[in-house]
Amino acid sequence: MAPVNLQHLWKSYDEKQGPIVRNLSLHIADGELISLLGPSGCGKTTTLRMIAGLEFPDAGEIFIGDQNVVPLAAKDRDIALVFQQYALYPHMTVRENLEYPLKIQKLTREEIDRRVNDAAKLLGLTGKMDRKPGELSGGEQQRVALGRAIVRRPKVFLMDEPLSNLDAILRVQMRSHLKALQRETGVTTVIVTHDQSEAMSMSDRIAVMNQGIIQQIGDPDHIYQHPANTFVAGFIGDPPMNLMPGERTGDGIVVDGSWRIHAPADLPPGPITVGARPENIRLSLTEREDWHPMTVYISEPQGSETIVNLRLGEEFIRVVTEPEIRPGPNETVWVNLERGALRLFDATTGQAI
Amino acid sequence: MSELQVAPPPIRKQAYSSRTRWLTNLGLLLVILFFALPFLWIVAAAFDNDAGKFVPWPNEPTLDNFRYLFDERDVAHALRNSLLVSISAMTIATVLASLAGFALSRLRFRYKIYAVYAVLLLYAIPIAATMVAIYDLADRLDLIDTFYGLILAQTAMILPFLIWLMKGFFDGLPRYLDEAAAIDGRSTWRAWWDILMPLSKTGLAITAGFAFTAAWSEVLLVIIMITQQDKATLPLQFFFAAEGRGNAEVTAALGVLYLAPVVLLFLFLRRWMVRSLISSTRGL
Repeated sequence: MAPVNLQHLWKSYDEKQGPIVRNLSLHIADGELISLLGPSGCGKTTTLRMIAGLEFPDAGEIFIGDQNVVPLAAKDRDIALVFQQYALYPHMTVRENLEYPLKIQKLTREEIDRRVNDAAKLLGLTGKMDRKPGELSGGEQQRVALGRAIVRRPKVFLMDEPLSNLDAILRVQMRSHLKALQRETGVTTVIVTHDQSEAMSMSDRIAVMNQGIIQQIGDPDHIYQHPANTFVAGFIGDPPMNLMPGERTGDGIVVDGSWRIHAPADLPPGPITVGARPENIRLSLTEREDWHPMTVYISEPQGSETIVNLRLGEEFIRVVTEPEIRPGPNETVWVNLERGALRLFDATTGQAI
Repeated sequence: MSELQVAPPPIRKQAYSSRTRWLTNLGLLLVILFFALPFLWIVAAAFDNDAGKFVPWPNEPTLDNFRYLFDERDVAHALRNSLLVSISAMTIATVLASLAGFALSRLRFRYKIYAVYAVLLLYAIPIAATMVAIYDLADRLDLIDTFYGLILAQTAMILPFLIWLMKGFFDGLPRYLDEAAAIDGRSTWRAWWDILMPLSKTGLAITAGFAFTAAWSEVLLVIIMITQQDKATLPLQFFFAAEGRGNAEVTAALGVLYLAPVVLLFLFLRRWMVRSLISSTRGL
């Protein structure tokens, strides 16, 4: 177990394409579970592979504990990596797969058996030890992949989209298992994911990445409540934060032509981006004083709630409301913003104000 | 629940019209006959004393032709020479092709793409064009009339294609498998041995099969490099027998001996291939 420290990492695959990771620095505390979250191509997997030793950084240092591991090959870094495709050895049984890293470490037979059996019990694989990976379900293969990481007792767990190949129900179940497993073992863990709800539910901290740069780092609540810029605001949350172009006027901000929103008085005049979470916008089917009328595009019933899509110029905003409120297309509804729920962003840079 | 108690209807097969099936079968039969007739003629003639121009099957099957070959022409010696040369060339070429194929598939080094193209170019060069050079080189190196000279030349000749073949098999194995082995603590070459080699058994078998067949049926290099009768391999004997327009039945018997290992190898490989293909696709 050890902290991981990334310092000014750069990585390009192709000079024409430009760097895929740009000057990335990140400190991961000992025993922490951190997610690298971002859209595909944002550099999160490349960052993980550099920590693993499968890619070599163009510049920068990677410390695991006190040791700079950049000169070390993957095999000498004492890390375990769970691959997106699990990467189980197809010609070996489950037991042989789990034993493989331990045999390389030349542990005694008793120690290997003890660790493998412990892991099998922990992951519920006891009855499957003599099967080949091809004879297992996706969820079982995933557990074998986790087991092969656990038996190592490495300094760091690295996981590349570990749950993305599971079906939806299993994915949600494995989230909680994975989190509990990490708590139990206390091993520093880096998870790469593009699924914001996965990152939200499992992580101690989330690093949101885009275009090779960490956009924001913090605990899930902070990132959800106080996105650092419009990218993070638009990436986190399901549905994500509504971002509406507004105009700063005398005593507030005007959105959608006539929707007047109260705002702090010390803002400079000019265009501004207004952010509001879908659950922070109230919706009424009847007219109310000072509420803003909008036209319904469509309603999406979710069982426990309804997501109402409203027209805002050419765009839409989404409002989460009670399940029984289901306005039809082209109906007029009235909306109002909850106090304190307003987030403001610079209209040109997208940075939070 | 009541629906479960109803017996399912029998599985219905897609019905082709019988005329289509007839025509298809007839067409296939013609193709098979076209390719199989010379083969059948050789087999039939080999066991006959007096084969006419067209032999459906010998009237009195006999082993006289084979007896003559073994007693008078010492074909056993040539058979032994051929097996020695072909198996040696097969073994060396398969090992080298596997190593080179792995390197071209997996390792990162400068100018790798040129190495790949060079291998492909070597494969495309017709061996006959280099005949004089090969003879000259073999002569200077005192490799004429030696088995290791012939093995070396044949290995070199078949290697480019085999490297290309093995590279293809390794390319087909996902890269995350060797990465997983690296993470688990294995060096590149141990990962090749532990993970990629067991998974490319099919590829190795097919490569070895190609290597053996190529070396076995190779005539040109043998003609260039072997002059002594006691070093002659089977294709050389066969070549002379066919050239002399001697006894057709004896030539046919020689042909059967020449064909037999290749046919056996194919039958063996075919079964093996099906088995390993099933297990490897299941495993991946």
